[in-house]
Amino acid sequence: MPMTTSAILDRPQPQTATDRLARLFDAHHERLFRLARRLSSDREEARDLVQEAFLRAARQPGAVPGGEKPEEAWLVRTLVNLCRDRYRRLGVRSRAAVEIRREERETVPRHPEEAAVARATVQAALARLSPRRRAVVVLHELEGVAVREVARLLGVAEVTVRWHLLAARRDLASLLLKEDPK
Amino acid sequence: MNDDRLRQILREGDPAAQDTALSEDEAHAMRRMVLTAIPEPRRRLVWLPALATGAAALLVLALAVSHGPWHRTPAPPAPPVRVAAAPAPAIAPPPPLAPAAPHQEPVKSSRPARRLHVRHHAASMAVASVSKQPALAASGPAVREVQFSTPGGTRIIWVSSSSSL
Repeated sequence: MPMTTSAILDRPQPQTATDRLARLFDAHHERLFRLARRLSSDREEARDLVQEAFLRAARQPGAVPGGEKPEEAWLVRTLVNLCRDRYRRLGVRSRAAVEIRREERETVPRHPEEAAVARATVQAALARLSPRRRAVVVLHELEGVAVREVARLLGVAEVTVRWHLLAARRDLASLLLKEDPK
Repeated sequence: MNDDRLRQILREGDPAAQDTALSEDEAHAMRRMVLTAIPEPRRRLVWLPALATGAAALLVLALAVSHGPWHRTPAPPAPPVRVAAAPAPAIAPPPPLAPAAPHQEPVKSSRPARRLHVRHHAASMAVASVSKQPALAASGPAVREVQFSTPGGTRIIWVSSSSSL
């Protein structure tokens, strides 16, 4: 049966790498930036991390699996790995900066800008966790992602996620709850 | 209790509470940068593997033509083995045995060791005898050698010289 011109034009065209990457960016950049913002110390760093994650996808389009959930998991894993790389590379400097920020925070008086103080406190406490543990805490405690989903996103076992959560809660409690007036 | 309070503290101090998303300009600039970072498909290098394969095939072919088995010089043929022909007894009848001729020595090589030796070197001995006979004939005293051999391998050689006759 001969195909008409309209049938040929209506036929779904094969997706080019550019189209796919554009769709990937549009679908995930906001969610990825939120996660990066919680995993990094400031907005600039978060933006760099997101950009680098998408650049990796652009350089290796074949590495990104098909499907919305697998590609989201790939991007999250890439982002966490980038955080780990940065954490290792700038480990000494970052830890020193965190200590300085912590000292600054302790000198900040509790006045009407309590929200900013709370953010600084949480930021400093999260910065003391390793990138993977921090990612587990952020995904589960702040984004409300279930343990099984966290495990799928990070590509680890559920028991590993639970172990990270347990250890992170212990560390965060020692940092945050001891100063908690309530 | 502690977990709930901890979660509450974390959510109150969520770093992304205010920085929820990239701005429009930031997102646009990042999108453009990401999309321009896609590497171009390497269509120009498609011919490279084919060229390499062709060159390798040509090399193998050239080596086969230049060093193939059909270029070897043929080995020289082995020299023909000349088996000593058993002389017919009619050609050279044995001289009459004279008991008075003590110097005429019939050489018998029917002993096993001798026979074995003769059998192993039959070709060379035959050649030697053939080449020797004209020389002997040319040089003064004639020496006659008569050989008998049986199908079983027994060989009798008679040597007689004209001087003794």
